[in-house]
Amino acid sequence: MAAIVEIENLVKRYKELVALDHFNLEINEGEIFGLLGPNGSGKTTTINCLLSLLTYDKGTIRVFGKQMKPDSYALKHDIGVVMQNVAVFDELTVWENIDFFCGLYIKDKKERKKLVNEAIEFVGLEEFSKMNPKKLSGGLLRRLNIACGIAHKPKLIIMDEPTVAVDPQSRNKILEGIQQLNRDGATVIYTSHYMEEVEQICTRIAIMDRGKNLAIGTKEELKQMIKNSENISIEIPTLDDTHIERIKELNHVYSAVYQNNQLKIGCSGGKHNLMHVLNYLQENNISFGRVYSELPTLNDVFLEITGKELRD
Amino acid sequence: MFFHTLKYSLKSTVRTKEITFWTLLFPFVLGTLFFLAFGNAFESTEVFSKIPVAVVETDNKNSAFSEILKSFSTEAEDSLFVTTFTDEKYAKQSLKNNDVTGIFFVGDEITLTVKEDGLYQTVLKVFLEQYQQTENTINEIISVNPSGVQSAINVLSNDTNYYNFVDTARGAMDPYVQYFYALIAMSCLYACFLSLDRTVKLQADLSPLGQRRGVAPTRKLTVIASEFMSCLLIQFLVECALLIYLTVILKIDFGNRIPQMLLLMFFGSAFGVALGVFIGAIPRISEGVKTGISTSVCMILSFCSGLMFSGMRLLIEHTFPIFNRLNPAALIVDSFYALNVFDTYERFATNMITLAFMTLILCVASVFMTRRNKYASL
Repeated sequence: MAAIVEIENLVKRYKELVALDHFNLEINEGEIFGLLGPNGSGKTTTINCLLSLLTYDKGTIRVFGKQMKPDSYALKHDIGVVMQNVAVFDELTVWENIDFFCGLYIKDKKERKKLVNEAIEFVGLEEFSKMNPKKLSGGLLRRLNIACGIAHKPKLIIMDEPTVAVDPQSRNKILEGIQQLNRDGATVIYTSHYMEEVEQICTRIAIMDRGKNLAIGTKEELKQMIKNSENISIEIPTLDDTHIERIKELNHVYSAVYQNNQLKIGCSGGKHNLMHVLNYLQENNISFGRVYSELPTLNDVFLEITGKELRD
Repeated sequence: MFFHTLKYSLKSTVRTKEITFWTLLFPFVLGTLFFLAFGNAFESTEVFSKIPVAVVETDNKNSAFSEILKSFSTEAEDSLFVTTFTDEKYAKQSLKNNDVTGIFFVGDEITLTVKEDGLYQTVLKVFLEQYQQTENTINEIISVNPSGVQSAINVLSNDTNYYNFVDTARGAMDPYVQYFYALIAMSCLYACFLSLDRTVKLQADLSPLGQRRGVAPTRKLTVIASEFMSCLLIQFLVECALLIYLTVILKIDFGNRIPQMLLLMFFGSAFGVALGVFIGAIPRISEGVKTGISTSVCMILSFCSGLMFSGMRLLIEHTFPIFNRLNPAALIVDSFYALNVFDTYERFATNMITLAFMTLILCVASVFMTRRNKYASL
């Protein structure tokens, strides 16, 4: 697959603060690429540098194989951007807003009208096309924001946290829409600090923190990078420290923490780990309640790589 | 692209209520208030008669003033005053009985005493102020350059003589009309609020809209030009509406040189728009600060053009004349004045050229500042 975006050795400083520290990234055609990281990790800065909105101190950025500059109009024509903040004119109607932004890319009026109507249908704003943005709910406003960014059918769509402060219904609609855009042929770069979203839609993910790319791969590849392969959680009314130590000695168990009547066990590799733990509890006459077994999430990946929770 | 942006810029600007109020409604409201405030003055002007005034000379140090008063108190129909030279006691009694409008006490200093406010009292006050300003000017010239006194007197005399050349078919020479000139000038400058708003929406470091527009494949110069044109069109229409309101509804006499006035308002509006683009384009300043700068600049320039005190321009002319040559509001006011007073267009044309040149400078500086498309931080 051809690389659509290539970022090499990118350094961006805000006075003393290093926002991007020799950051590298390659995004291939047809991907939904997730940039995952906590607030302040450098996701938006990366996007703004990529779009030539921000100056940077060092590095190169290539889009569609060409160097990206502020006056790279041909490249910009094939890029659609959905900004983190809603960027629409309050005084124009939904239809007019989409038409205005689409018109910055598409000159032909007939074609534009068709594209605007398709975009409105795509985000489900048919009933609201004559309304002003001020009258829309937060979720509908986000959908309008997306429509303004994708109406011209770009090859590369950059979405910077498009679901912030959106209700679950609108969020699902937006995520489904992104997957549809990808099926229609667009490459999507999706930044978020919501790991569930990234896990749900992204085909490849980069985890970044403090301006660095810490890990990159599919979600399965990322999970294989860490030793955690299973999280077991068991409700136990009372448990001695001796038992905790013995549980730690079971095969494939690398951590066991007892807190608030919950025993949390981390396992690395192996099979039937839950059965081994439950057998131990039964053999030692330890009564227990509800039992959960979960595969590791991206949060576990992030926790293990950075030593902190994704959402601080 | 130009017309696409122009179309939506027009729509968006017209629908922005806050901006519409300041640029469209505010001058209308202020004009109405001026009209109501000066209503009696206008009516009085129609039945204007000679002003009875008493003069009390305490010594002969300012006999020149008494002589000038006498020259304005002739038997002629168009003379200004009926002057009575008397003692203090009789003068005060006359003022109390409303036999005279005011008393000039002429001594080391010249003072004016009036019983109430009104048009006649204002005329006396303005007369005295003008005399004192002229006297100060001449005294200053004597102390600095005695040889230039005659030239100065000639210039000052010419200023006075302009009244003799008034074509009655043109605008009223009522001093209150000057306030309406200043109002139109202020309205032209208020175009900066329109263009400031539009310019901020173009800058990625000031608004999300600016970011979105910054990543679009459009040349910044084209976008700025279309935004400039939309603001200019709207503002010019506002000025036309204001002129119609003042002349047709409020019956303010601006004379009959309408095409020239439209040209003047077009140039004035262009300057206002250019000012807003310029302030909006200044880097590393927040939108709030830019609005503050625009408001301050508009108010100061308007004040200095005589919006709140009609003698302000004259005062500046005597103290810091270059400011009147560079203050766009003063240039607009002076152009209206020149259109209504002079037969030739020399002074009007000079003002127009100055205004156009300043507009051009602001435009070039704005393009220079906004041509950068990348920002150090957003």
